[in-house]
Amino acid sequence: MTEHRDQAERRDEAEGRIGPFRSWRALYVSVIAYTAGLILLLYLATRLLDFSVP
Amino acid sequence: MSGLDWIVFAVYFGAVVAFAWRQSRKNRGVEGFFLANRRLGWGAIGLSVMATQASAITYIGTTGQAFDDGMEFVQFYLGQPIAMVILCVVFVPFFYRSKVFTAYEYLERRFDPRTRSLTSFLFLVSRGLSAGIVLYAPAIVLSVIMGWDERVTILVMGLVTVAYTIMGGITAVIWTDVLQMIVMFAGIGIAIAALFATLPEGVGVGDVAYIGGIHEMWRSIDLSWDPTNRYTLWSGLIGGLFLALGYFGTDQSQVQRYLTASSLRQSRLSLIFNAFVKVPMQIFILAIGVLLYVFYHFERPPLVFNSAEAAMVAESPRADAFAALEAEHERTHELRRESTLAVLDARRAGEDPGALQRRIAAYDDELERLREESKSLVSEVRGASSNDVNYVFPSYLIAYVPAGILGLLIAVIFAAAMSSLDSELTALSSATVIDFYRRYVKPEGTDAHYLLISRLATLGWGGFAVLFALYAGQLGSLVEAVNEVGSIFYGALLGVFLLAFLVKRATAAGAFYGLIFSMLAVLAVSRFTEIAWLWYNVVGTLAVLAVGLALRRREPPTPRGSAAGAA
Repeated sequence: MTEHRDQAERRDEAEGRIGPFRSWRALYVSVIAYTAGLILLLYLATRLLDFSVP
Repeated sequence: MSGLDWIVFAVYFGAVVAFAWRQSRKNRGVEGFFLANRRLGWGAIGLSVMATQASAITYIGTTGQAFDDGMEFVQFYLGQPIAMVILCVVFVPFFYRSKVFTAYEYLERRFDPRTRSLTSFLFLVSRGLSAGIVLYAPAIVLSVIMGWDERVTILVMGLVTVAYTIMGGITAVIWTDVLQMIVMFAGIGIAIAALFATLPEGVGVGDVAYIGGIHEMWRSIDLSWDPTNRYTLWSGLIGGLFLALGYFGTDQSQVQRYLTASSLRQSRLSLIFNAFVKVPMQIFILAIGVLLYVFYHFERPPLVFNSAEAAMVAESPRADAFAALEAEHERTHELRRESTLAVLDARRAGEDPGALQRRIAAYDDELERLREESKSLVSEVRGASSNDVNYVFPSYLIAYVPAGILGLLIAVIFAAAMSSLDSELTALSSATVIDFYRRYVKPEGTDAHYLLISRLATLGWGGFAVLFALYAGQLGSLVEAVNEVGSIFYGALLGVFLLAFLVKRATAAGAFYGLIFSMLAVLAVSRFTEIAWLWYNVVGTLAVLAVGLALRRREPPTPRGSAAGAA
C-alpha cells in the first residue's frame, strides 16, 4: 500500500505541467511576479487616489 | 432580526451540521480522524487553509480598522504569497514525505524528544488559550449588536462546532470550512453590493473613490523604513513573511491541513491557491471599511458604534458631557454631508473643488476628534479601554441591510468564527494525542483506542474553549496577553524548523536552547523597545538560528534515515 502510494507520488511529481504552468519553477516565479504586480497596483492606487489637500 | 433572517440563519446551521455528518461517515481510524486518510485535493484544503486563518474578528475587526485608518493594513499580508512559495519549496516536502501526524513529530526525528515536546507544548498553550478568544471576541460583538446574551452566542457557536468536529474529525472540518468559506466569499460580495445600494442616488464608483481619497483612505503602500511604524511595505514584506512562515509552517492548525493531501503536488497547490487568493480577499474586506467610511458621509454614523456602551454612558453621571458630544457630532456631520454633496456637484460641473475639499477634510478631523473624546468618556465610565472598531460593520448591517441578507451576513460572522475554532480543535487534539498521549502514556494502543482518545481530547479542548470564552469577560488583561503570546512563539518555532530543514549540522542542544533564548529575546524586545510587533518574528527566528549555528556540529553529520526527509 505504502509502495503504491510512493509510486503514485513519484508519478505525480514527474508530471511536468501544473495547469497552465510548465513547471513548478514557472509557477513559483509567477507567484512572485503576481505579488510584485499587486504591490504596483496598490502603489498606483495610493498615488492616483490621493485627493487630500495640502 | 426578522423572521426571514432567522430562516436564513437556521438554514446555514442546518447545512453545516448535515454536511459535517455526511462527511464524517468517510472517516476510518485515527489517520482518518486527524488526516482524512491523506486523500484530499488542493481545492478543499486551500479553502480550509483560508477559512482557518480568517477568524470572525478578522472579518469584523479588519473592516473597522479600514474605517478608521484606510487600506494600509493590506501591507500586513504582502509577504504571504512569497511565504507560500518558500513553504512549498522548503517545508512541505519534509513534512509530507516524513508521513508525520504533527509538525512537532518531525522535530523528534530530526533532533530529540524534548525539542518535540517543548514545541508541541508551546503550541498547545498558545492555541488552547486562543481557541477561547476565537469564540469570545465575536460573541461579545454579536451579542451587543443582536441583543442576545453573550453566553447564548458562545454556547451556540461552541457546541455546534465541537459536535461536528468530534463526529467527523478533520474530514468534516475541512468540508465545512469549504462551505463556510463559500458563504464568506458570498458575504463579502453582498456586503459591497449592499453598501453601493445604500449610497444616495447618483453617487457612483468614481465619487466613492474621490471621497475616500480626500482623507487618504486608499493609501495602501507606505515606503518608510521606520521600524516603530506598524504597517509599512517593508514590515509587511519582511515581518509579514516571517509571520506567515511561522504560522503556515509551524502551527499545527495549518500544517495538519496540507498533511491531508493525496499527494505532495496537491499539498503544494493548496498553498499556491492561498498565495493567489488571500491578498485580493483582504483588499475587498478592507474596501468594505473604506466604503463604510464614505457611506457615513451621507448618513449620520453613531458617535459610539457599540450601542451597549453608548447606553451605559448615557445613563451615567457623565451623560451631559456625552449629550453635548452627540449634539456637536450631529451638527458637524450635517455640515460635512452638505459639503460632500457640494464637492461632488462641483466636480461634475468641472469647477475647482479645492476649497470644499479642505472643508470636508476639516470636518473629518473634527468628527475624528469627537469620536476620540467619546471613546475616552466610555473608557472613563467603563473603567476599561473601548474597542469600538469591531462594532462599525455589524452596526451598519443591523441598521441598513435588508431582511434575509442580514441573516446571511450575520451567518458569515458565525462561519468565520466556527471555521477557525474547528481547525484549532482538531490541531489541539492531534498534538495532545500524538505528541503526548501516544508518545509518553500509551505507545502501543490500538487504532480504535486512539480514535476514542482523540474524540475525548477534542471534547476536552472544546469544553475548555467554551469555558474560557464564558469567563473571558472576567479575565481582563489576560485576554490581551493571550493575543500577544502568539507573536512571542512564532519566531522561535520558525527558527527551530528552519534549523532542522536548512542546517545539516544543527544539533538537538542548539535547537532546544535556541528556542528558549529566542523567546527571552523577543520578550526583551517587546518590553524594552518600541519596535513594531511584526518584527518580533524576525528577531525570534534569527535568535534561534544564531544559537543553533553556534552550537552546530563541527564534523559532517551522519545519515539519520527518515529524518532527512526531502534532503
